[in-house]
Amino acid sequence: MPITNVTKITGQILPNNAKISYDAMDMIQQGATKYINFVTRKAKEQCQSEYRKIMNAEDLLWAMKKLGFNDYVEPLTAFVQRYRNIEGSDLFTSHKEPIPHIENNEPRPNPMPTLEILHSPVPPPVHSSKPYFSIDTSHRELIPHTENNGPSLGLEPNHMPTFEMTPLSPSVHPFESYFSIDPDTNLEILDPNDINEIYLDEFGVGCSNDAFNNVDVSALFKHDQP
Amino acid sequence: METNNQQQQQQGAQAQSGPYPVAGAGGSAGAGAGAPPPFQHLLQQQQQQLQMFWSYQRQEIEHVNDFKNHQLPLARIKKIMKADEDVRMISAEAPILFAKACELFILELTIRSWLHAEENKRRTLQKNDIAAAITRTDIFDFLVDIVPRDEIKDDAALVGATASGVPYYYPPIGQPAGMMIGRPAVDPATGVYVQPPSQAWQSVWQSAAEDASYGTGGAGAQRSLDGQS
Repeated sequence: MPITNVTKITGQILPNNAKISYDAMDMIQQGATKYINFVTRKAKEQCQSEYRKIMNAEDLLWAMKKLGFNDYVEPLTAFVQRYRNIEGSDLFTSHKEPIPHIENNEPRPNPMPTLEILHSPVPPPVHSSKPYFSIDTSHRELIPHTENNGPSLGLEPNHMPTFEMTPLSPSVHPFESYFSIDPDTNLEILDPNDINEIYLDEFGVGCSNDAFNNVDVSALFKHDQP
Repeated sequence: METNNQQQQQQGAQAQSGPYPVAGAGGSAGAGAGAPPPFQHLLQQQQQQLQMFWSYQRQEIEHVNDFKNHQLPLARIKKIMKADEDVRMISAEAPILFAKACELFILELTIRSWLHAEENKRRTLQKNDIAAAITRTDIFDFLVDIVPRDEIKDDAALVGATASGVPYYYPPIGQPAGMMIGRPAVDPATGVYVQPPSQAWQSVWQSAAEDASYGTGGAGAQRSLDGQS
């Protein structure tokens, strides 16, 4: 038996100024354990004689009487009867135990909002970023093209007019006067090849070479049609 | 031991009957004139204290409402019961009954030990007090194996005292013999366990004592309480 419990019980019966040595407390503790073994062993005889497997309160009371603990039988009998009268409330309290299980389920929905947060930022910036980036890159790439390709084109004077025509197509509004004056220029802008050239410029310098080749091809077709 | 049992029964009979306290007092007065007077008186006091204890326990149990807050843990009790391999299944009531039974056992053992400490005019309960309570009480025979051999020697002295004609307890002449054996008159401070004060129970104990005593018995109760203090 735990020494703290034994200490509480002995404290109930002794005067305030009384003390107990540790050896005495230890002997009382051992005595309580031996008392349980002693009575249990006697109660077991009663169970076995009646071929019962479950030891109950009556067996213990019978054993105590047989072992000479007569003073204990009367108060303990009243104790058991009182316990049985209140036993119903004990069964009622047993139903309250499942409540903690419900509390355990509460943390489960917590991970859901984190998953939603992970999904939400992905699509909008991807869609919105493309058109803005494309417009900016188109303006920036046109200027370095003229600077980088100038000396190379200088070596080949035949390509000069074709290069000048490509920047004219994206800037439609400021050159409206030219479109009205030169009908040939309008025809060139409406061709789908010009639109393809714009997209090719977006991809970088390497593609610009291909763009020039395409322009030559389109120019050849245009001359053949009229 | 049988003589002791008979004396206990006689004391019980006297306590149970109302008109006898007067005769009992006369008897004690008569015994006072003889040689064994202090032992008879001491024995009577001790029996009265034990009877007060049991009557109080009966009253207390009638008002028990909480069966869950036990003084002793039920799981530990069940484990000790199952130390016997043949004990396999135990009803729910058995450990609860044992919790109360062990409480009564510890209380009775403590009272009987304290009475022995008081005989030696000590305020500290020692191992030899527990041993004396075990050897003096028949129902505690199963605890003999936890009594050290040193205490058995004291029991031999007890047997000698009994043989000399004294009914059961130490005679005043025997005290110097005890001193010669080597018991310390003053308790050493080391190894002492101080009991926490429990005034609530003390007041209940005194009130129960007052309820149990009668007009003439009241004086005896007061004397026993004074002796206790």
